[in-house]
Amino acid sequence: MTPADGAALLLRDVRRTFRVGLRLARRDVLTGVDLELGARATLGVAGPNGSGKTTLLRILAGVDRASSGEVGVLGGSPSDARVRRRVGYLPEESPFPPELTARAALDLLGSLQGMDRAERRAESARLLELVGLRGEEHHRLGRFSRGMLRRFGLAQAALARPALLLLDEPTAGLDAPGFDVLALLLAESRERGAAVVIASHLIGDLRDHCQELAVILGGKIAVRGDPRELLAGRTLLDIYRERSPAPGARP
Amino acid sequence: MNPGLARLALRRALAPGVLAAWVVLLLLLLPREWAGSNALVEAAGEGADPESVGRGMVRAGVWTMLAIAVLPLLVARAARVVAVWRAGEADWLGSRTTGRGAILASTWIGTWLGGALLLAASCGAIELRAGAGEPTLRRAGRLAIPATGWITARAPLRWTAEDAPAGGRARVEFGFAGDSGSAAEVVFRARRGSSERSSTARSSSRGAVEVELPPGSGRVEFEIACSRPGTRAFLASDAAELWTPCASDRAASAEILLRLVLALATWSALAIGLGAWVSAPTAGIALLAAWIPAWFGNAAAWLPGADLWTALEIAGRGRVPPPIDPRAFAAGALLAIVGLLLAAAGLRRWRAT
Repeated sequence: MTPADGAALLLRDVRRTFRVGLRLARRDVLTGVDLELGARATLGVAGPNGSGKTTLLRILAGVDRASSGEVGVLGGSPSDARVRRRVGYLPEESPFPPELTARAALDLLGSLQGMDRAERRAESARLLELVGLRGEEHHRLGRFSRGMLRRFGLAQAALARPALLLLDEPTAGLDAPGFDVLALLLAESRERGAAVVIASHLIGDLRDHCQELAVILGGKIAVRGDPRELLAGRTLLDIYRERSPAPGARP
Repeated sequence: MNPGLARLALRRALAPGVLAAWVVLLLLLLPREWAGSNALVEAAGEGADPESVGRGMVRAGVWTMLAIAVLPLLVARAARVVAVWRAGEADWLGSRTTGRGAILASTWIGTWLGGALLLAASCGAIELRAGAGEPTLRRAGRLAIPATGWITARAPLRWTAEDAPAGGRARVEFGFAGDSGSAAEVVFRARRGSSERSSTARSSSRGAVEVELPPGSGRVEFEIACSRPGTRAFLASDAAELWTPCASDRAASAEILLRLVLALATWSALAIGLGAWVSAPTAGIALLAAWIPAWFGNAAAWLPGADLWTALEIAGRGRVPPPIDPRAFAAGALLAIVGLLLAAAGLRRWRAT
């Protein structure tokens, strides 16, 4: 499937089911996600814990596969390496190799992304400067604070100048300088014409950085609209309560 | 192949915990007295050089303990590779452009190289402890012996070998019948043309006798007989061991190292593969269970590591094991590919299903 002209994402009836309990039982996390996102757009994805935000981002990043449905990313499939080359992904946790220094880790991640040595060196230096870790580049990631790791995570997501940036809970654990770093990276991505997807449960992230907000409830996108309108005088919890499927309702 | 990922895997194979365990193990093993007096007396009785046997026992003892302790540790860590990825690292590995095959191959090579470096360093430490190398004999093959019954003084066993290298030795193991007395003798002769060599061994029950092969080339006639009437002996095998001169007994450690490195290459790939489907402990135990019959059953000498205990036993006699069966390299490569394919199939999804 190919996204419509200029679309960064086009998802049709995307479902993801996990096998649990000796693989005999099923847990439906995504039950039919339909989504279209234009280039240069910034979409916020909200939802209660366990609603499937992270699973959705993993599918878009090529880390996970949908059980069924159609997933179009930047004109191709996320299983295609050429597509993944143009996608930057910040995972929810910071599972980067703790035994490597920040510089060595960026070099490794860049090499896995198919970047050549000169490009890796130049971009690593630039991004470490940008995220305020230039002075720590020879320190091992295992010795970084959570906030520093999140800033490192932002740097690695932006390493290959992606056309689609996927950020999972980007402000969770972020330290004070990190908020400015995030704003800078998002501005840089928009300038470059990249689309951005931010999964978060914090109103601030969604209202400040996103042009659109999609709320996942019951494994589907239940609400979509302008975050300032959707969140006017309401909290995310209010939206969850209003739009949650009735108990016992089948997805 | 991604060199950065291979370096990361190498670093993980040589994690501080592994290095600490290895150092402690060597500190415990190297100073130990491995040459038991009984074994040295027995070796001297068979005509072997006790010093050479003493050095061999150091090699066999330390290598055996390392094979029992360090090799499973390295394999167990290899079995954890996929579990660590699934616990989080898949998020940065699976979202990159490098494919699963390259990621797995790089990780396997790094894991294997790390273990190989540790084993090579062990080899150096063992040789430092064993002392200067001396000329010895290397096992070079087998000379078939025709089927036989009891051997007596009047009915010796004779057979011929079309060629056997000059300067080498032939060795047979024998046993005496219960009515042969408290100490009986066998004489082992080898004749080539006009040259003859002979050797005598005395024992109460069973033992081994070895004869030097006469100079020259061509056919060699062998004869083994009891030296006294009323004594009956039998051969414990259908072949004589053939031994050829070897410049240094240090080659024994090199042969054991090569076997362990080859086994590690195979086992680590299989451990990574199995670890993609079952838990790391289950993968490790399954591998061990698969190899025990090969080690003790003598069924598949071409399996990497299958002749490890035989090689250790030979090294313990101060001699050098034979070169690895070339089929073991092919089998190792094939099994490693199977392991990596298994892992690739298990990683069709980076996250758990």
